[in-house]
Amino acid sequence: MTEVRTYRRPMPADWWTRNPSYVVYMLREASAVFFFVYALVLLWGLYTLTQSEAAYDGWRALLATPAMIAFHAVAAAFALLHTVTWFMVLPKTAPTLRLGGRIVPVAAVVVVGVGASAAISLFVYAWVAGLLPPGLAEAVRNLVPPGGAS
Amino acid sequence: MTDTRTIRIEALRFNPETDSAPRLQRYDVPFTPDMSVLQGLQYIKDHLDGSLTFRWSCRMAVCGSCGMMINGRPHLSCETFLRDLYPGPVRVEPLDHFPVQRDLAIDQAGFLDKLAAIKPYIVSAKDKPLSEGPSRQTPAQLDAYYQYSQCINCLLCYAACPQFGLNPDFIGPAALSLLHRYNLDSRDIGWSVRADVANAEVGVWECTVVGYCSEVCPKGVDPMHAVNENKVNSALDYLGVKRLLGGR
Ligand code: SF4
Ligand code: FES
Repeated sequence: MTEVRTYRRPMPADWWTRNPSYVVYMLREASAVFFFVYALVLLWGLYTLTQSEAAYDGWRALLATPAMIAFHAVAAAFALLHTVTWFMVLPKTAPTLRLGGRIVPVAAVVVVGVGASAAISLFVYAWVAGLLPPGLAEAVRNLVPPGGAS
Repeated sequence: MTDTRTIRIEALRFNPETDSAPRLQRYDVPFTPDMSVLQGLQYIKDHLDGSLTFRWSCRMAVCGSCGMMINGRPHLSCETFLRDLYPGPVRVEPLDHFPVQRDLAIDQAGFLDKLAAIKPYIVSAKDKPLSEGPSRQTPAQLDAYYQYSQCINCLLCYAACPQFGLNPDFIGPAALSLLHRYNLDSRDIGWSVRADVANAEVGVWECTVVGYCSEVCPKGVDPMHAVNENKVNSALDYLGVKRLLGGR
């Protein structure tokens, strides 16, 4: 066979800026960095807890600084983006879901997934912040075994 | 009287005999509302510049030969209409990530090798003489692979895949979709002969879930799903449970 001479166009380092789909992908990947740093901050807090009350208070004071608040705001935005895009990708990475012989529509998986994760997040937040309605708070308290966390 | 407007088409030109790098050439093309980008290019070839090279065959989104980058996105030029791109300009380039053979024509040889590697035909348990009649399949058995059988080898998904751009050895979305298509066929027993391709480093694991391939596919094949469902299969195969679970 005759060898055809071809031209291979280079792939520039900024390839991902050319298309919104690639930008979203890169942001989703970049979110890992923020989760990692967030986890470190949290672990550090746990560590100060094992040290002394002053160390723990120092960590809490640090969290209230504008830089830390800004970091957490950005990390939260990335977490939101990651959650939503993760559920958008889920139907494509998991085996096809069938219900009664029919393929479950992609949109349903995404909506149910994002909805459930939002509901659980809200519930946990309300619980920790003491905002649960009294009846529900009572029910949750009863779930904790006696002698467990209060 | 049909309404005729003029639109500018900027085509990437590359002649391997004379050029060391591609360049853009501009043409002003009169068009009617029923004209596709492919017809715009045919107008150029017939009336303005006979040397412009591009591929097509069916002109109805079936043969898969007219794929190109249109304004930076992979499209079939026969089903992309100039009226939707008015007032333009319309930039047409060969599909991204492939070596350019001439103008808008890319070199498909690498893809054809990959296609051959996945054995894109039914591998059956035994040779069945014609006299035994057709192999029957239930609607559910057809449904299992139907979507993946719709691929027309247009390669838009490869042009959408940065992973293929970074590593031309990646078997890639369409070949892996077709691998899945045959593996899912109730008449096929070829999983194990295709497993080496799926399990290889340049197989399903090269995919980093960008997902743009499925967005650009004109046939709804959802190559990203085919590739990623095979990560599960590949992992089960690695653990040796694939065959236990009825893998063939
Ligand atoms: S999977 Fe879709 S985009 Fe890729 S070659 Fe097949 S038809 Fe074209
Ligand atoms: S010419 Fe056949 S798909 Fe466009």
